[in-house]
Amino acid sequence: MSLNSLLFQALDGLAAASGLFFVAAGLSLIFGVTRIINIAHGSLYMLGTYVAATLANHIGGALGFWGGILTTAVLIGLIGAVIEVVLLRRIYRAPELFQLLATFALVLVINDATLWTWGPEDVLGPRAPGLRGAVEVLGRYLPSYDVFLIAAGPVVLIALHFVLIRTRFGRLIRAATQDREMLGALGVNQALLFTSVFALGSLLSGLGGALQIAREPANLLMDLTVISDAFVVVVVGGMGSIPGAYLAAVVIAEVKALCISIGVVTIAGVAVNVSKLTLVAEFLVMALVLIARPYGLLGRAQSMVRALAEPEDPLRPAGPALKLLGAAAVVALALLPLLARNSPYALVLGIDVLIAVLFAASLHFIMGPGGMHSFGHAAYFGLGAYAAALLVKWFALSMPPALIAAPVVALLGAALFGWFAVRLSGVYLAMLTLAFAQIVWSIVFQWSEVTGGSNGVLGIWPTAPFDNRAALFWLTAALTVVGILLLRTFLFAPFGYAMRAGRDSPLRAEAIGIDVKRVHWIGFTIAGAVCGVAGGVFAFAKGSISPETIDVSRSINGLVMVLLGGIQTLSGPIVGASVFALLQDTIMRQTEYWRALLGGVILLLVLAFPAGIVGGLGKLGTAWRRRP
Amino acid sequence: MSVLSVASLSKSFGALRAVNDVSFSVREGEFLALIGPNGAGKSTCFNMINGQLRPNAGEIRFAGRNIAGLPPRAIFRLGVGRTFQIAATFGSMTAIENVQTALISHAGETYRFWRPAAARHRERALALLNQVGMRDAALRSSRELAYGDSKRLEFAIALANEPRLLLMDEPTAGMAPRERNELIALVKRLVVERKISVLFTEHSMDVVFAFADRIIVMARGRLIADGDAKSIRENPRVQEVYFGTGKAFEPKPQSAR
Ligand SMILES: Nc1ncnc2c1ncn2[C@@H]1O[C@H](COP(=O)(O)OP(=O)(O)OP(=O)(O)O)[C@@H](O)[C@H]1O
Ligand SMILES: [Mg+2]
Repeated sequence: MSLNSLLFQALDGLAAASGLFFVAAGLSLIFGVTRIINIAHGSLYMLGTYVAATLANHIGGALGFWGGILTTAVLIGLIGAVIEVVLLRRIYRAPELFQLLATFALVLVINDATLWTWGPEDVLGPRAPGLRGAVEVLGRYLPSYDVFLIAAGPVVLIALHFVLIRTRFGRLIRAATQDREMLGALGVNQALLFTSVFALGSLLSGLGGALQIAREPANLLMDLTVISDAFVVVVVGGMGSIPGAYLAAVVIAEVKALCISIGVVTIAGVAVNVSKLTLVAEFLVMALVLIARPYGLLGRAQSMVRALAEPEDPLRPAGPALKLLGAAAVVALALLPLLARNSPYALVLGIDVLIAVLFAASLHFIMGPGGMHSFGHAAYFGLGAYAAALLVKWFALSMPPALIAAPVVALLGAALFGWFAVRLSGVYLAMLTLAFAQIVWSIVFQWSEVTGGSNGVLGIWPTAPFDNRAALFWLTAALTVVGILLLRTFLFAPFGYAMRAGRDSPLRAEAIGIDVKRVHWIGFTIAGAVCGVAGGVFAFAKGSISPETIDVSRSINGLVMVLLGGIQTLSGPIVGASVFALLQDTIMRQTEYWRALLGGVILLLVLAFPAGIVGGLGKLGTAWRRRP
Repeated sequence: MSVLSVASLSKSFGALRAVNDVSFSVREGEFLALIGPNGAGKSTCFNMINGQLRPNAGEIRFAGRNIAGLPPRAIFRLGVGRTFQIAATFGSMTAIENVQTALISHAGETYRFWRPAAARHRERALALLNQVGMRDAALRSSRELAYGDSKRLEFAIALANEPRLLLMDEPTAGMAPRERNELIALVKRLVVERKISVLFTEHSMDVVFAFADRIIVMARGRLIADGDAKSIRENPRVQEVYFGTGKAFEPKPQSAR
């Protein structure tokens, strides 16, 4: 590796940084003012790529390309405004997690709308008219378009800076970002401000997407990859800081570029392919930054504006009705294999639902009572699944020891990651957990000699006596029931009270001698271990696993399940996971567009049942009892 | 003999010297009032003594050792109870569970995973609630309590570790005058019975002059007076900071923090 090639890669990194910066700046602006974490921001970027590529291809020429990019940006800005007015405006006062849920539903809807409009094939844009050539830099050829992108980032940064400093609109944005009460005092039309900020943020995202058409084809996976990249950038730069976003985008892009140019190095006789690190580089950077500077490079401590979730009522031990219901559920589970002799699919589905329930219950354990909103719970599911699968594959272990190893490995992973995560809170904790999950994902994906890479591990079949569906179902049911009862017992025990105490008031908890971080760390570890059981069973139930097991979407599905059921109740995750898994299954078999349908259902639930299903039913019950 | 002695304690926030070279001590069984106008540095003093803030300089001696810089939980274990200016309780628990959680922690049972917390130290928790006049509210969710009641609940929580020293930052903030007097009378009675030393702040001078054994006065981060009610009333510097501005011998309005 020569110095020249290193510099060349660095330039290439700067071009990538610009695109990243556009999306992240939009996300940061929107978060700063509305305090909404818009997961659908990446979907707007994706939409921008599709629209711009289509315009450029159909109209053609410089007009189609450059005019198309500008048109696209404006169009996406308008779409953002519509989303804000129609949906988000109704939920500004809702707990933060509900807003997440709503924007996630949008991701699903937009993804399917895109699929419906453009089909599953990637859409390739033309090369940029006027910038098709390349310039010679350091003895190599850098595409002119990259030079243009390198310049575009700082230009937009400076333009945004002027808007923020010099205009009234910008002053309002800064006021809202730094001090919300002040905003009220300024006598501002908040609704208009929020809509326009949302439009501006979306426009930036659309612009970022549109500018990519000459570099990469539009595809349906962009929404989630882009949003997780953008999150990383925003968190590393500091929430709400635009210069921070640029700085972070550059740092991350450069670290990646560096990894690529280093290539293979030999450390102590072992060849390490550093370029493989690119997939994790950004998450490593984020983890390091968050540990050293919990509010990002240029960020400041956020004043907590609003609780993450609604306040909850005291825990009540199960009453006779609930105990009866629980017993009935256990009996039903025990009988299902006998009743479903003729419909084997019922058992397959049943196992899926049970695994989802255990997964969601373990996530709820830290999210609800612990107040730690993990966005990367799939990591522990994946660790459990891969631990079991790899032991079977490499050591020919039988099922029981493999199933015991699953929670142990997940526990170790959770203990390691949790130790860092509990040092943060709120959005930052969420992002760090996401980063850890991505790191696990990348390791599994990259380390193909051991994990099978993207192909995964095949042929992990249950051994006797669990080698038939009924027995496997019973095993899954037993593990799930035991897991849930254990978690429940912990919550009612002093440990659970300490965990809730640390969530309710860390100040008070420390003042009465509770080591809040330690308690939350142990809670995190317990949740990871239980989640690992779910992962282990999953590996055997499916017979094969792939990196998809650790995907972001699994983590997000977990969040959706917990919120769907209602985070304030212990039965919430059980109901939520069951409903979610069944919905997903039925809708999936009905239509190709199950994501959109699922998204629609979630949106409906969010608007109609802001306390989740169980919470909503509870409220209905209270209202019914209190009726005159 | 003094239970707590603070020597040359200082804390700055940026350029602001919130507490500046403050020294005082609390004697055994003493009911000591720390008064001063808003922003004088009273809460900052409390926060350093209970470990929430690390002092920039100075010593805090309690139970024969320097506790400056220890975390709050360690200071709790040494026998210091604390109530906050803005009542801090566990909103998702009932009043009695709040007290039980403190008792459980005091008994070193936080890391128990089996027997329900609700079954532990129930009698003792009820007795504590009874003492602060909250027995009837034992099963109410603490976030639904009236503000004065949360303050009482905090007092019960602070008594859970059988403290030798109680730090009470505006224990009566947000209470009506009658309720104030009752609560302070109650605190005084309990601490005399149990020989607890108390350091408290209070904005109502009537209450301070009526109950405190001794009064120390802070203004702009510095300690400006130390003495009994009479000498404080007559102290020209105290009169200057207080009466001079026409401020703050009155309870401040609720909205101020
Ligand atoms: N965490 C902090 N960061 C910056 N400044 C602080 C912080 N805490 C307190 N201050 C400042 O230090 C000074 C002393 O504050 P403190 O809360 O100790 O006053 P106080 O005497 O308790 O007043 P009050 O009667 O209003 O409660 C004030 O000017 C306050 O603004
Ligand atoms: Mg104060």
